[in-house]
Order: sequence, then structure tokens, then C-alpha cells
Amino acid sequence: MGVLTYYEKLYTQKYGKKPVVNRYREKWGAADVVDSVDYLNAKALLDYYFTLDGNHKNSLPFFLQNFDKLAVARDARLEDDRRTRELLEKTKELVETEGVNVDGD
Amino acid sequence: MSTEIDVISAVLENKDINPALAQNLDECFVTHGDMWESVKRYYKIYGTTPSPDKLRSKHPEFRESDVSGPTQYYVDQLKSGYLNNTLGNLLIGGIHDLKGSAPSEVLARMQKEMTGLARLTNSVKDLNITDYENAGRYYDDLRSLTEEMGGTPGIRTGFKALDAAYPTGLAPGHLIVLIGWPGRGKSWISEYLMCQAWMQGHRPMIISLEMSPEDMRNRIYTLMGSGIFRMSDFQKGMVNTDDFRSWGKKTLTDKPEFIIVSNEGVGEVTPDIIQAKIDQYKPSIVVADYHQLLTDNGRSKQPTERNMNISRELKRLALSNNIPVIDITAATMDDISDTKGPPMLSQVAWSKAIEYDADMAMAIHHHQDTNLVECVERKNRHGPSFAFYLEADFGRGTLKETYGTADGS
Repeated sequence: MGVLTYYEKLYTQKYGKKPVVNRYREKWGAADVVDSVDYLNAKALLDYYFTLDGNHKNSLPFFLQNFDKLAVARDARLEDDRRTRELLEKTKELVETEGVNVDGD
Repeated sequence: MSTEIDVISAVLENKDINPALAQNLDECFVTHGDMWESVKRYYKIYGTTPSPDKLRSKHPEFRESDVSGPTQYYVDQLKSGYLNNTLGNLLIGGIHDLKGSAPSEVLARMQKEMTGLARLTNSVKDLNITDYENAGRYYDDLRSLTEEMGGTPGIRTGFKALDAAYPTGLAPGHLIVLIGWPGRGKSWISEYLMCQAWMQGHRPMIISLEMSPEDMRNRIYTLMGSGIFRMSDFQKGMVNTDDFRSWGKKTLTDKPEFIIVSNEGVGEVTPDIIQAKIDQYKPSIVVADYHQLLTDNGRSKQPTERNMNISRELKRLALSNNIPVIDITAATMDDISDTKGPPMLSQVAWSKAIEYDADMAMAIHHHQDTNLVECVERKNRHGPSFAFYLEADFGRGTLKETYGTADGS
């Protein structure tokens, strides 16, 4: 499945209608994305893009123009999620070390 | 009557200790140092000054003087008198020393003592860290305060994780920043913290620029009730007023005031106006809800400059009033913003100011369609990084602390 087809699939899933895509024009932008981040990463970025609710309304031109910024934002989020998981463990240990009941009782 | 008694009387009469605390006056109290220590200790524990009778119960010899001016006036009088006496003694001592010592030695000694006195001529606080005797006295005082406050020198938050990772508690002079996307639980958490402070005997003040004071009162009653009330019942007036009055009498009578200040959505509120409210109500902790709705004292037009100024001005409020200030701030949304998780510090336009000014910054994020509120440290000047979750029932005002993750793992 090509990037444009995958985009149409995700858009239809989220909004319940097929997007209007000028394939003749956008295929060049999609090719640039694949050249830059490879095909699998392009699809993963599209997955991430459709978790966002901005004024862009998940438009294809916005994605094609901002995929690099989206990659940075996604990586930052993943890193922050990893940090939070680590901190949850450490905090639990800290509270236990301080002799506090962690069950909230 | 001595100027020391005048200062203590003014502090008690005006219920205004901050001009005296801000000036490092301790060494000026020569004959009534024990009374002054008692007043300071009482203020640190209870967030207000004792009544004259309360002070007399510990110091029967205390007789208040007839004071009618602001505390600052009597502070200036005490400083001036102390400087006058000490400088006079220093000069006389210098003349006497000249008879038996080399002029260079006398000059060096006088310079050292004069440098110490110069502390009282400005409001900049100096600390010589090689003076371990002074440090020892400070630690003795702090330990005793910590013990009297139940384990932390500041206000305990009621969150086990936060109390463990932020061992000072919400301490005087601290600026605590709560960051979050709009509508994700920042205000609710701050109100919970204020309820905790109030239950410990402190006097909270919330500057509410977003919600009406009545709406905020509904939420605070719901939190205070911890499951007794429903927020929605308050919003509809569907409460049994006899039961409510009975609860109010039992819960709210003879307790510290809990003040909500609102501009009702109109009129600018600056840190200077907050200072006026602090002067009026003498709170022991202040929440500014929220940052973007404040105006800086200089009324800057550029948003980033304005917000950086507000951050700095709130920090000054905390330091000059010797109270903790909580600054609630919304992260800056753009089209790339991922609002599914708690905002990072870089997602606040004036994050540099927060990095400089805040003692602690915490991101708060209520995960949509769940009862989970994620709380993650973004800066902690006084302890380790931390994260925890709250299972919150917003409608009932109850919560439980957990250490799982939003996806249940």
C-alpha cells in the first residue's frame, strides 16, 4: 500500500469519509517523504499524525510540508513516555524507601 | 518603651511580619530576641502572627506598645537605632584600640565589623558560608521547624510521591509552576493542594481569573467533602442546606480563612494587585490561576516578554512575602502539538523563565475518557525527578495515588 493510499485509509477511519487528494500533484511530495524517512517510517509518521487534533485537520498538504517536524515531535513524545515510565518506577521506590504506604490508604 | 517592642507590637497589631522578615532583623533584637523568635516561629507554623495574649502566654513580661503606623516604619526605626548604637560603640572602641594596637590592625577590625553592619543598610541578603556557627544555628532552627510542621519545613502536599521527592514541601519563597494543556486538571490539582494547606492550618488565597468565585467555591467544597458532596449538586443548588450548614459548622468554623479573589473576567490583574491582596489577607500560600490571564506590572505588549516578566514578578512575590506561590500555566499549542500526553517544558513559550525562576515545575495531564491524571516533574530544584498518577473522581472530589501507567501497565 503506497503512502497516499495509507493516508486515505487513515483519514477515512478517523473522519468517516474519503479525503479529496490530488494524487497527480501529491505523489511528488509523498515520494520526498519516503526518500527522506523510508516507507515504513512514513507510514508510522502518518499513524502518529492521525493521533493529533490540530487546526490542520489532518490534511495531506500539511503532512507533506511538516513531516520532519512531526518526526521530531513524535520522537520527543516517545522519549518523554519512556522517561515517565522510568520515573514511575523510581518514584514508587522512593516513596517505599521513605516508608510511606503507596497503596493510597 | 523600646523600639524592639514597637516592632513586635506593630507586627502583631498589623498582622504584617514580612517587612521585618525581609530585612534580616534578627541581630537588631538585643533585649527581646526570645520574643521575636517566638513570633517568627508562630508565623512559620501557623502562617499568621500570634495575638498579644498568645505571645504573653509564653512571655508574660510582654506589654504591647501603642503603635499606629505601618510595620515598615517601626522596622526602619529599629534598624536606625541599632546602627546608631553599634556604629557609635565601634568608633569609641576603635579610638580605645588605637592606644594599644597598630592603626592597620584597628582599621582591619573596624572594616570587618562595618561590613557586617552594611547588611542592614540594604535589602540584599548576604551569607558567608564559612561562618559555620551561623549555619549551625540556621539548621537548628530549621530542624525544630521541620519537626513542628510534621516532617517538612514547608506545606505538605498530601501526595506521597511529591512529599518524598520535594522534601522542603511548599516552602516560603518557592515558586511552583503547574503546566498543562487547557482543561486537563491543572486548576483542580492546585485546588486540592490548597485544601491540603488549609487542612494543615494554613491560609490559602486563590487568584481565580478563569472561573467565577462561586464555581471555584463549589469545587473546593467538593474537595473538602472528599466524597460527601457531588460537584453537580452544588452547581444546581441541589444540596440539603440543613445538612450543608451542619457540615459547614463542623468543618469550617474556627478554621483559617480560605480566600478566593476573582476579577470576574474583567479588569487587569497584575502581580502588584496580587501584592495588594496579600497585604489585605496575609495568606500563607497563593495560587495564580492562571498565568496567561495575568498582566505584568510593566504591561508589556509582547506576549513572551509579558509572560517572562510575570514569571519573575511572581517569584519576587514569593520571596518578598516569604510565602509559596503556585503559578498555573497553559502550554503553548500549535499545529504540531501533541496534546495526548503531558506537555514538556519546551512546549511553554517562556520555558527559559520557568527554568530560571521555578523551584519546581510539574506537568499535569488528565487523560481524556479516563479517570487518570498524570503528574510528571519538569524541574525540581530541591529533590529528584518524579512521576505519579492520580485516579481522580472530579465529580466527588476524591483521588487515589498510583504508580501504574496510562495504558494500565
